[in-house]
Order: sequence, then structure tokens, then C-alpha cells
Amino acid sequence: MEALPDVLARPLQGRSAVVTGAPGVVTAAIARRLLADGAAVLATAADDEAALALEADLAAEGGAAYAIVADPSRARDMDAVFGEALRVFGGVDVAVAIATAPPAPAASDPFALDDAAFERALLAALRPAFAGAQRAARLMAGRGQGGSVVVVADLPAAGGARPELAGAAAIGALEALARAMAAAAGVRGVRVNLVRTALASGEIAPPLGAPATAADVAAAVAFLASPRASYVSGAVLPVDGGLESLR
Amino acid sequence: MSPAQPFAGVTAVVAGGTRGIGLACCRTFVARGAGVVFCGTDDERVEAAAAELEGLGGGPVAGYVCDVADAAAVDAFMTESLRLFGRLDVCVAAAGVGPWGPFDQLPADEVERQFAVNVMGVHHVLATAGRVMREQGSGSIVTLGSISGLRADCDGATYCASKAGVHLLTKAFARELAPHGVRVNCVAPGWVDTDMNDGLRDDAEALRATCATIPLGRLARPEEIAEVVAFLASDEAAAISGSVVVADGGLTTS
Repeated sequence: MEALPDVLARPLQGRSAVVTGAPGVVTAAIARRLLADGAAVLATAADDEAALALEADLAAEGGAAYAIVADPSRARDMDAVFGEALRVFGGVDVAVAIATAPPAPAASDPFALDDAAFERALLAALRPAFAGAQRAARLMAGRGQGGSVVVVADLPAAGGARPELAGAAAIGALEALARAMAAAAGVRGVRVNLVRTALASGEIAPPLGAPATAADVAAAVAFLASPRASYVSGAVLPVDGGLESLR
Repeated sequence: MSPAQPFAGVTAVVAGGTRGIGLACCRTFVARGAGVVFCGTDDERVEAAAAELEGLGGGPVAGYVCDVADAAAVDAFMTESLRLFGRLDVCVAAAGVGPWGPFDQLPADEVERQFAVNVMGVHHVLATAGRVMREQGSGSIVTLGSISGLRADCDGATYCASKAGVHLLTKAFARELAPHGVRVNCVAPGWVDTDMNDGLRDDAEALRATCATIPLGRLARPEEIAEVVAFLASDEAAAISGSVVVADGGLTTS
């Protein structure tokens, strides 16, 4: 049998990917997976020490991996990240913008949430996603070679364990953001999709018995990033152990 | 697992596999090493599809004539698939029919046939495959819905309603089968270049107008929808169940 194209073994061969998000297992797992799929990867890290550790971790996959110290919620840092990506890669084919938030305190009362806390929580989730996704889509559209943007909403509210007003509002806003960007960027061949998960939640047992892992999230991101998802844009992919069946 | 044959050793049943998206799913699974049993309503098309799939030189292939609207026939088809392969890893419920058109121009018998195939047929496939997979304690089922099941995007009230039915059948079966390790998901395509949309093939102006509404600016090729099905069917999607994944080139974003 004739060998199948590399689209299966190394679907991102020759592509460049930028992964922006708060430091943690999700960012690392996604960066590792995109590397394994053949991409050259630039990922954000919290400080020099974390950047060195991430680069060492990613080096095990082989390929070209870079970590850059950046706070994804700061505009100037994100400008620097994408400037560096352009300098090193010459362009961006895949961008993953991760929105995370710590779980709210167990005793949190949705009716006690004050305005300032609501605003902080909402912006903490939205700002990094907007900053990463929009910069990436702009670069991709400008270059004219298409591209794939994946927004990852990793928010405890997606686990549905308890009402979290700001988290729930953030998820809705992130979905709307991804869909609106998909509508705007499609004509330039840029796809934008959202992966919704709640890795930090882990309170209620999901229908499939086990909560989703960072590797599960990375697999979904890798699919959406790849040419295999060439007609998927504006979609929401829930990676949540089957909680979606209850919605 | 060879990267080029990620479905080697996997057994897949495709209900409605002789044309369109269902046939593209058969090609994708066979080419990647899966054994595939499929069915269709027309014996000549079943033979033609079987010959083509065997020619791919991938996993073993068997095709049967079966109308998914006939519960007993679906039961026999699934029993035969299980007898051939001994187990059932993947099932795709792809069978679906029109018609579209203004509500007062849809023939009553075709409307009834539409619900018999699109809703009850999918139910029969989910129920028979679900029983086998529940017994095994594993399996992945993918249904074919439509963006028409999410919003009234074309004249075709009963098509829209039937596909909304597919979406909720998917979620309800996902909920019931999750404790048994069985995942159930749905792919909701937009406009796909298949026989079902041959009206667009013959009408350049209608095709242009349709593509102008799609952010990616073109129809899907059937194999692009099959890729989404293949992802959801695979272990890569082990944490995904109950989802309706839209594959419409961005059409429903605006």
C-alpha cells in the first residue's frame, strides 16, 4: 500500500506555532503535542527559570522549541511574543491562546460577587485570549497563507460544579469572540475555533468517569490546528469527559 | 500503531456508506487500516462502493443492503457486522435524506420517509450499536447532523427538525452510554459537495451565492467532513462525548 501522506504522522510539519497562556501543564502539554506533530513552537513562560525548564522539557520532543518570558495579559508582552515569532519563524501558521482562571473559593457566593471582582475575573480570562488570538489572526490574514487559531477556555465554570457568574460570562464571551473572529477572518483563509475545558475544576465526576487531561485538550487543539480540520471554523469543541451530554 | 494506519485493527460500521459523507467516511477508515462494514439501500451502489473500497488496499470491507428505517433490518445488519468482526469499535450513522423546499410543496410521503430515515433510522443504529458497545464496555459512535438542525437555514422545515432530532438523540445516547465507556458525538456539516446538494452543482449562480455566505468561501469536500468524524471516532477524542461539532466553514458564525 502506498504510504499515506505525512498529514497523519506529522500533520504540522513545516508549520510554526505560537502558544500563549498562563504557565502550567496546559501550555506545556499543548506545546509538546504541537512539536510532536511537527511544528516549530514558541511558548510563553512566567520567568527565566520557567522558560529554561519549558525549553528543556520540549527539547525531549526534538524539533525547534522556544520559550519566551511573557505575561499574556499584558499587551506589550504579547507584542513582543509575536514580534519574536515573526523574527524566528518568519510567520505564524498556528496560534493557541489559552484563557485560564483559578477556581473560585469553594464557599463563593454568586450573589456576593462585587463589581470589581467580576471585572477582574472577566478580564483575566478574556484579555489573554483576545490579545493572542487577534494578533495571530492579523498576522495570518496579512501574510495571505491562511492559518489556524485555537482559543482554549480552561475555566472552572466549564465544569459546572457550582455557579460562577464571572466564569460563566467569560465562557460565553470567549465563544462569541472565537465565532466573531472566525466570521471576520475566514475570507483570508484563517480558521478560528474554541476548545472548552475545565482542567482545574475536578470536583464532579464527569459522565465518562474520568476528567479530561491536559493531553486530551492538547489532542483536540492539535486536530483543530491541523489541515485535518480544514473546514472547521467557528466551532466549539468541548473536552470535558462528556459533561457536554448533560447540557 | 503505525501513524499511517491509526485505525489498524479497528472495526467500524458505517450505516449509509454508499455515497456522500458516509462513503467518504468508509474511504478514510479503510485507508487508515480499519475493517469496515457498511450498508446502503441500493444494491448496485453497495456493490460499487465495496469494489472501490476494496481497491484501496486497506482493511477488510463488507457491504450490505439495509434500509436504516427498518429496525429489524438494522438489527440484522449489526448482528452480521459483529459476526464478521467479533467486536465493534466505531459506528457512524450517516444515512440521511431530503427533501427540501417550501413547506406546502413537500410531498407528505417524502416527509414521513425523511423522519423514518433521519430520526428513527439514526435511533435504530444508535440503539443496536449502543447495545453491542455497552456489552463490550467501549466504543465510539458518530452521527451526522446538520447546521440545519441548529437553525432554519434553508427551506426545508422537516429536514431542519429531523436533524435537530439527530443532535438530541446524540446527546441522550451519550448520556446513557457514558457510564459504560461508550462515547457518542455528532458532526454537523454545512454545505458539502455531495449528491444531496446536486442542485448547487448545476447552478453556478446559486453556488456562487451560497459560497458568498460562507466565511471560508467554498463548499466542503466530503473527505473534510470525514476527517472530523474520524477524529471524534478515535481515541484522540477520548474525553469528548455528547458534542455536536459544527463543520461549516464558519457559516453559522454570522
